[in-house]
Amino acid sequence: MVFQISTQSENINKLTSWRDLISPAIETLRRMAGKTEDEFLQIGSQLQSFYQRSADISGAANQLVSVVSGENVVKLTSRLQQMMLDMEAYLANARARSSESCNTLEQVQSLLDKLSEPMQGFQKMNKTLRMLSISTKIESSRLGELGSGFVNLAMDVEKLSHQVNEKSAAILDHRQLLATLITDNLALVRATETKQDVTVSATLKDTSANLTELVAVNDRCKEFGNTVSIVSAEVTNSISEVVSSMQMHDMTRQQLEHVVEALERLSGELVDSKISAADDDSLRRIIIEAGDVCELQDAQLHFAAGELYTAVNIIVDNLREVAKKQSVIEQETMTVTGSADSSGSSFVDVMSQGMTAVTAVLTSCAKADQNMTVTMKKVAQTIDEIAGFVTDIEAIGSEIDLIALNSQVKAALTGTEGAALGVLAEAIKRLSDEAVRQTNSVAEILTGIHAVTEHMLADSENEDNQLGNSISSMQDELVVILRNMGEMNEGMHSVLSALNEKVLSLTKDVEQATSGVDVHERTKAMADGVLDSLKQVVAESRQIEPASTEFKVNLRHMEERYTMESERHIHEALARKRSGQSAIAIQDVAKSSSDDSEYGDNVDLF
Amino acid sequence: MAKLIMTADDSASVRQMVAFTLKQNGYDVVEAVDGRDALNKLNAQKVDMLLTDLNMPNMDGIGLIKGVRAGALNKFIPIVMLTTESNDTKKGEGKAAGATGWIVKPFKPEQLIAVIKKVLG
Repeated sequence: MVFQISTQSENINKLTSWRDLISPAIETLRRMAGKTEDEFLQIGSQLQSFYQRSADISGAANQLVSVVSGENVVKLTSRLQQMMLDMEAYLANARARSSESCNTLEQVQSLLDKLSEPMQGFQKMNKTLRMLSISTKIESSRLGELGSGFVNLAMDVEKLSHQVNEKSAAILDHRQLLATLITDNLALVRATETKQDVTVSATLKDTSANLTELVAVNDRCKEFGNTVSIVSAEVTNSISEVVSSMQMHDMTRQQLEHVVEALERLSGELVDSKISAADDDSLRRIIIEAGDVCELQDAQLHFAAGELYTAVNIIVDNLREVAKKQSVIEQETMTVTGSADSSGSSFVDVMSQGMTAVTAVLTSCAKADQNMTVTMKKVAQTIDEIAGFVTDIEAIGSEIDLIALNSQVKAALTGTEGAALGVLAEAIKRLSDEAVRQTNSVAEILTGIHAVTEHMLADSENEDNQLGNSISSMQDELVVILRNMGEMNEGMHSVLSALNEKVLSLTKDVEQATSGVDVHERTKAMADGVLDSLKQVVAESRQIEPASTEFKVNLRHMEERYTMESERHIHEALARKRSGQSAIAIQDVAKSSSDDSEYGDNVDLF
Repeated sequence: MAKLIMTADDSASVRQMVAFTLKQNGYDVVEAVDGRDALNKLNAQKVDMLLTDLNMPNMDGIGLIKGVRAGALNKFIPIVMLTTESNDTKKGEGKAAGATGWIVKPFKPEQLIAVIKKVLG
């Protein structure tokens, strides 16, 4: 045996050297047990803050989503959909009205063209009247005294000729004015229609797409509640893991105290044995015990330090996970609410732009309607003015007729000498008939134009009022919708911004807090130093005296101090190993459990 | 009105975690650093429940339970041991002293809350 070749004094010196190893190890373990409390308390304080902030973030995300998916947004969507239908109907109606107005204007244009013939008739009549006036003057001059009364008649005829000329010129001017007005208006209406077609098509398409997006946002929001619940459950789980792991400090402290107690007892025996180891058996017993105790405490300390190391890693990982989960919530919130695209704008921004375009289209339609009504009124007014001129010409025709009759009477009184004047008087009479015929033609055309425009004007005024009210109502409502959307958008951006700041702040603080946690590394380094000392004692004692099969019996006193199942399992595992029974892995037995109560393996209700 | 629960434990970090868990679930908490501190407070203040560690300086959990059951103010409150001790003999001692339940550390917050809800009805 190794012991046999060692001298007693050498072995006693060994005991001294072991005591010198164990004493500082005990001090190290005491420091380990006491020093870490403040650090765990600090982590615990931060945990409470992180948990509260995490709950705030989830709450803010839920609040934001409820804003976007709330009753107001549902009403807004529904109203916008109805407004799109109304707008489509309005635009179709406007297009039909515009088409009808254009047709009317074209009819007026066509009727105005028909004025050419009677107007030429007036010009011809005017020319003839002037010639008859001249002829009458010549003839009356030839007759001398007898024809003196015809000079006045000739002057009257000439005067009426000028009047016919003036009136027909005025009619021609007005006709030209109308033709220009109609041509310009038709060009304007057609240009507006083309522009509206493009704008309306794009606007309706965009608005429809944004409404679809709004509906999709609502759908996503309904699902988002589940996402927040899942993430909240995961956060709760992480917090639960942290709370469990935080207790490992207290457990490790107790395990370390038990190791310290065992080593203190051994240290005391090593001191006593140096004095009292008078015989080999006593010395042998204390060497075996030193090996057994140190081997057992090596296992207990290894397990405890490992548990603490793992627990701190779990704490750090789970705190980081809490921050990560909140980042997920923030990102998900932005996606769900459609609040961030590549340009940083929201669907609400896009919808607001669409609504502004819709307002512009409606305004444009209203203006076009008003222009058309003004045109129709202008047409009617001009036609009335032309009719006035025609009435004047008609009156002139009556006067000519009287002049002709008077001429015929005078020619008859003049006798044979006045026969030529009689012929002239008949010609004047024919002209008055012609004037009546031409004025009837013009009046007929004007009546036609009047009928067409009066119908349109009446319709325009009625529909203008209705559509004007409709557009005004739509525009008013769009203003309200835009304002609501603007407020919602502003609120959403504000909450999102706050949410983003909270998440960034939480992530930063968690990172800062966790990166500064090195208690596990320091305790591991301290434990490793103690473990080296214990291993050295075990190796040296076993070299002198192999392990005893009476391990369990020798160390029974230790079992009484254990409070934790893991300590008992580790003790049992080593005892089995020493007594030659089948080995059980220390880690496995330490984590085994036999109970499975309603509230968990570790709960008993009496 | 929130129920008031006392947590008695010589470990500040364990008291902190128990208080955190309870407050998050709407309970009010009063803390005691050992059995004697707990008993002094319980003789002066009515609480709805006591959660106590077993191994504490000055007065251990069993002594505390006996003291509470012998007193008047909180004589009938539920008392749950919250300890690293898992020995059946010790559990028997706790039960005999008047403990309502026994939870071995480490506990999960949801376990603790489930037990509290159960014993508080």
